[in-house]
Amino acid sequence: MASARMRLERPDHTLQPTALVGELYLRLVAAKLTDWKDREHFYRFCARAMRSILTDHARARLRAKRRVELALPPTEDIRWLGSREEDAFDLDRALSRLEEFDPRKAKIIELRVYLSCTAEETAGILHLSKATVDRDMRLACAWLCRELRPEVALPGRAAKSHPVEGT
Amino acid sequence: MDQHWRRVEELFHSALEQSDAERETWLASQAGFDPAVREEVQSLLAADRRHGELSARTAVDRQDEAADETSSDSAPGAGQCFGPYRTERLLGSGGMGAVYLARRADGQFDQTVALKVMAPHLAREEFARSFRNERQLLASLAHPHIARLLDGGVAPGGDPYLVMEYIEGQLWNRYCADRKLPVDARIRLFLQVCEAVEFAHRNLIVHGDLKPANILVTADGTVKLLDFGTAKLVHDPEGRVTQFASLTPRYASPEQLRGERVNTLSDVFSLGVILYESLTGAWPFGDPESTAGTVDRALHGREAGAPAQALSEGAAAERSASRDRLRRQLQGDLSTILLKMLESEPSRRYGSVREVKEDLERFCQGRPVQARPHTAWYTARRFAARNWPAVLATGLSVVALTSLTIVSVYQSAQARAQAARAQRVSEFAKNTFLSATSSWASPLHGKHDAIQFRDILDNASTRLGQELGTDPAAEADLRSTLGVTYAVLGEPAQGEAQLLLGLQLVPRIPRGGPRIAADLYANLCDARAFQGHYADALAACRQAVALYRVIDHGVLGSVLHDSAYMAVNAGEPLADAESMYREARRFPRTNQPAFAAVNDSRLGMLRLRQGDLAGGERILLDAERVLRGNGEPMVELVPVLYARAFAEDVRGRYGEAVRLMSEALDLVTRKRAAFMEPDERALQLAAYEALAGNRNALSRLRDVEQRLSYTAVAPVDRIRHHLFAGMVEARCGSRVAAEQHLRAALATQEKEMNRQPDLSVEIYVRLVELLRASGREEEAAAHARQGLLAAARAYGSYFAGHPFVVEMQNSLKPRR
Repeated sequence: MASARMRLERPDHTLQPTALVGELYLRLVAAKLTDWKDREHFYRFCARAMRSILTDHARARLRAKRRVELALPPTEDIRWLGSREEDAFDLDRALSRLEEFDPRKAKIIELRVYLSCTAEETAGILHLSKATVDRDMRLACAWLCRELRPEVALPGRAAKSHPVEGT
Repeated sequence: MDQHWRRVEELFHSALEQSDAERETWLASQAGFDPAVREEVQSLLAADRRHGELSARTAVDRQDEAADETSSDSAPGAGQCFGPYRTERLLGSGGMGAVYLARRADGQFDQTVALKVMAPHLAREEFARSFRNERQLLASLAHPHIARLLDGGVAPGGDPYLVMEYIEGQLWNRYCADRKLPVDARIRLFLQVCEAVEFAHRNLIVHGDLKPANILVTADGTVKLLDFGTAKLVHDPEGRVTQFASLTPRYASPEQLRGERVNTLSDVFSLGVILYESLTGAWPFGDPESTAGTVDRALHGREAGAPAQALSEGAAAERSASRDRLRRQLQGDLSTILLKMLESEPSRRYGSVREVKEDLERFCQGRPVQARPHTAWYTARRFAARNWPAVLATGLSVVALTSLTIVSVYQSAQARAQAARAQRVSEFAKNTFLSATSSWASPLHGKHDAIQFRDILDNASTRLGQELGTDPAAEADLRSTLGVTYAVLGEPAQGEAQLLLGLQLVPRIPRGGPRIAADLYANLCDARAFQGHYADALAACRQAVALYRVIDHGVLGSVLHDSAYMAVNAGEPLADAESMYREARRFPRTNQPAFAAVNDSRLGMLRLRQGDLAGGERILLDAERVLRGNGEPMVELVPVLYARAFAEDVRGRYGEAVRLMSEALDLVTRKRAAFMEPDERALQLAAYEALAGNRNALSRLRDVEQRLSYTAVAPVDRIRHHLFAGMVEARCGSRVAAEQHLRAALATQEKEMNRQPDLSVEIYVRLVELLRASGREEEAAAHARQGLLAAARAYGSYFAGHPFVVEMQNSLKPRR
C-alpha cells in the first residue's frame, strides 16, 4: 500500500479531496461494479461516499487531535463554501434537512459540491435540463447561505432555520 | 416537497424577475400568498443577496491571491552561474522552473543557450542520477525539429538545471493565433511536430509531456520541440509519473492519468489533444477544469466530442474561415483522424505517430485516409452509452487481462501470484461495496440511506476473515488498507487492531510476505503515532525499516525519516535520531517533492536542540530557501519556521521569534493545514509573546487552553504544554500557576524523557528566572546548578557560550 504510505507520511499529512476522489474511484474500478443501475446511481454513490468521508473527517476533527486534514473542494457558484472550518460538518446537516423537503435540490448540491460537477454535468447525470439545475441552484444556494451564514438577526426578521416549521 | 415550500419556490423565482428597486413593494403586494410564505421568501431573497456578495468577495480574494502568486513568482535575475554558463535574462517561468537566456562563460565557445532551472522541489539527487542515465540518450537526439539538449547538472547552490539549444521563436498557440493560420496550414505545421516525435520514438524516447507550451515555431515556420525526454527525468524507472504535478492533465492520456506506464501511444493521444485544440479552439472533453470530468476520463475513457460541434466562439475568424466552412472542414476524414488519435483505449488509437503523419498527409493531398469510422464500433459505442455499466465491466476486464498477460510474460511467478491476489481483493471489495449500497438503490429519501463510509469499513472488516480465510496474502493486504483508512478517518485504535490482525497472517503468506509485512508495519507506525503512542510507533517503524532495507530502497528514506521522528517524540537520545535523519538523506524520494528539505529541517532542529545553534540555523536557512520557492511558500515551510523561532528564543531575540511563529501560523491558516497542530503552536507563540513583553499573551493562552479539548497523551506534548503555559503565566499571569506548570514539565521530563536532557534546560532557565523574580535566591541557585548539569549533558562541546548556559551562570553570580 505504498500509496497509502505516501499520504500519511509525516510531515505532510494532507489528503486532498481530489486525491480522495481518485482513491474512491479506484476502489470502484477495483470492485468492477457491475450492478450500477445507471450513471446517475453511480455518480450519486460517489458523491454520497465523498460526503460521508468529508463529514466523518470533519466530525473526527472536532472531537480529537487530528493530523490529517481534509477540506471541502472549492465549488464553482458557491465560492464561500468551505472558507470556514465547520462548513464541512454544517453542510452535511443542512443537506440532510434539505433532503427531507426537497431531495432534488439536495442531490444537485451534493453532485456540485462533493464531485465538483459543473451545472451541465449535473443536468446530464440527473436527467434534468440545465435551466432546471440553474433555477434549483439559485434557490438552494440562497437557502444554504441562510443556513450556513445566517445574517445577524434583525429584530422582527429572525432567520428561520426550517421552512417546514409551522406548516 | 410540501405545499409551503412549493409556494415559497414559486414566489422566490417570480420575485427575482422583478427589478431590485421594486422587489420589496411587489412582494408586499402579493396578497395571494400566505404571510408565512412571503416572510420566508423575503429572508431567502436576503440570503440570495448575501450569497452573491460572499461569492463576489471570495472571487476577488482569489484573484488577489493569483496576482500575488504571479508577482512573487519572479525568479532570481541575471548573472548567475551554472557550471560554465552565466544567465543573461529571464525568458519565462512556470510550474517546472524558470528558463533563462544564458551564455557560455568559460571562453571555450561563444554559445547562446536556453538554461532551464528546475523548480527546487524536484529532488536533486534523483535528478542528478536520472540525468546521468539519460544524457547519452538525449544527446543523441539530433533532429531539425527537436531542440538539442546540450548539458545539465546540479549547480553548487543545489538547483538542478538543463542547458538546451536556444531557439528564437513563438509558442505554438501564439504563432498560430498571430497569423490566423487556416486549418490546412496548421496541419502542415503539425506534420513537423509529428516528424520530431516519430524520430524520437524510433530512438526509444517517449516525450510524455507533449503540450503546446513545449512547441516553438521560429519566424521562418520551423517547428522545434522542447523538453524531449526530460519528462522522464522526473519519472521513476518504471516510466510511471511519480510526481503528478509535473504532468499536464489537460494533454495527458487516460492511462497516464491512471499513473500507468507512459508509452508511444500516450504521445499519440497528447498529439491528438494538441491538434484538436489547435483546429477547433476547444478542448475535446468538455470542461478541462472539472474534477469529475478528469476522473471520468481516467477511468471510463470519456470519448472526445465531434470536432465540428466543439468549435469555440470566434474559432472560425481566428482560422481565417467562415464558420460554415470551418465546420465542413472538420467533418468527415479530419474528424475521423482526430477521434482515432483520441481513443481512450490505446489499442484503438493509431499504432504509431508515423501512421498519424501518413494519414494527415493523405488528408492534405485529398487522398482517402486509412482511419475509418468503424460503423460496427460506432454502433457498439452507442450501445455502450445505453448499457453503460455492463460494457464498462467487460471493457475493464479486457484491459486487465491484457496487461496481466504482459506482466506474466516478463515477470516471475510472483507477479502472477500478486495478480491473482489483486483479483481476489477486487472481488471482495465489489461485494462489500454492493452490499453496503444496496439500500441506496432505492430512491434516496429519508434518513435510512445515510450510510457512513465507516459503516462500509466496519462491514468490510467483519467479513474479511470469513471470506478471504483461504488467502492470507489478500486478507493481510486488505487489512493494511482498512487499517490506514480507519486511522485517517479518526479511529486510529481501530486501525491499529486491523493492522495487528494483518500482521498475524504474515507467517502464512507463501510469497511476497516481507513486502506486505513492511507495509503493515509502516501503517501501524502511523496508526500508533496518531494516538500519541510514539514508543510503540517507533517499534513498528523499526520493523518496517529492517524490511524495506531488504526489499525496497525507494521508500526507505521516508521510513527512516518517520523512524527518526518517532524516536525524537518517544524520548530516545537525539544523537540516535540524528543519525537516522542523516541516513534518510541518502534515499531521496521523487514523489515527495519537499522531502529532502523537510528531512533537513528536522535535522536542523536536532542540531539546535543539541546546542549547535550556528550549525542548526545554517541547515534551517537552506531548507527555508528551498521551501519558500519562487512563489507561494510550501506548507512544509511551517516546521522550519517553528524551529527557527525556537533558535531565536534561545538567543533571546523574542521579537524575531514572535514574527516567525506568526508567519508560520498564518501559513497554517492560509493552507488550512490543521495537521500542523496550530493550537499547540499557538501556545508556543503565546510564550514568545510573553517574553517579548506583549500583554496579549495571557488571553491567547486562555483562548487556546479552552480550545484544546484533548488531553495530551505523549509526554513530549505534555512537557511543551506546561513549559509554554508556565512561560506565559510567569510574565503576565500568576506566578503560582507558572511554578506549578514548570514543575510539572520538569517532573514529566525527568520521569519519561530523561534521555533528552535538553528539554529540561529551558525549563530550568525559566524556573530560575521565576524563582529569582520571587526573591527565592537559594532555590534559584540550586536549580541553576541542576540546569547547568543538564546543559552539560545536552550540549556537550557546545556547552560553553550557549545562551541558556550563560544565563544560568550569570544567575549564580552574586547580585550587586
